[in-house]
Amino acid sequence: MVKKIILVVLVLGLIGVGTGMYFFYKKPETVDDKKGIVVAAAALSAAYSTSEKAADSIYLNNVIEVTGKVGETEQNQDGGTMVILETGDPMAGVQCAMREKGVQVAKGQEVTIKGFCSGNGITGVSLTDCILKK
Amino acid sequence: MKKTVLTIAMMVAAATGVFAQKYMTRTAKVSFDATAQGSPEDIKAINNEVSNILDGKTGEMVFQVPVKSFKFERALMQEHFNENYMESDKYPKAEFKGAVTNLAGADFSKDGNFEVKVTGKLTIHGVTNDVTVPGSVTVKGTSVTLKAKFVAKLIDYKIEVPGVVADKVGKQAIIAIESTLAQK
Repeated sequence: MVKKIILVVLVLGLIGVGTGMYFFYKKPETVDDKKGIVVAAAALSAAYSTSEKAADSIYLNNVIEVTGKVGETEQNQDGGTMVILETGDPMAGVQCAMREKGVQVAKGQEVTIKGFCSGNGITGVSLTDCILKK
Repeated sequence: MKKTVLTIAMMVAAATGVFAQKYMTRTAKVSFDATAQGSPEDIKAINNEVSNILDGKTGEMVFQVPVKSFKFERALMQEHFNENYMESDKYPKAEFKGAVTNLAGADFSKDGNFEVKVTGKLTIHGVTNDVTVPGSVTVKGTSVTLKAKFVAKLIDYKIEVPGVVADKVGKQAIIAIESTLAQK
């Protein structure tokens, strides 16, 4: 009986430690294996300028796959790249912060980028943790 | 004659940037440190996806921070930050709207460094407070770099820290801003 109790306590303890370690070392979730909402850059931008609330209810914090033409790129202070997709409105591009450093895209290139939508702002709709699909 | 003078004056004004003093970036950096004293681990995060617009003529500026874009060392911290503390589904943006108050000493049109005081409204977690923050400005050609560091008390923004993590998460956050804007 005592042996059994010790065994149960031991197993429970191991499960506890395992769970703790899993959460402690867990990596942030990525967009790679997730299915994204497919949308064109101009349509995404238009949805946000029509109604931010309605657009947030569809896109915010969700994975989206946005297609558009590269308008420009910006380098951040830590060497990361922000790819800005054209939408027809120069003050409202779709800005995609790329997860990996050294992403190469050319101005005018048609690309599809997958990332988490972090909402709309003064300079356009933001996507974070992005990867280049094509 | 008057016309010539006016034309020359306008050309000089255009060349020195009087008419075009709007600056912008989408990659300003905002970081914070909310580590409690003696905490076994650091509670800090970086966001390189901050939008910032500055009007060099009036000294007015806007910072907009997509909350979901703060990156932590550990996924669990990031999850708790978004879901429990900042509620980024409900409040996806943090924002500062304000202006330089000592504009007399601030010349964005020529190279140099100067100190500024910026007063405005800071909105975090849906709560807006009036703040005054000291900062520095560096002008180099057509780019302007703004730097500031200040402390925000979590309670002022209705961010509650549960007792179980009070030994790790402090009662305040030291917020650092560094933004290099290009003339538009």
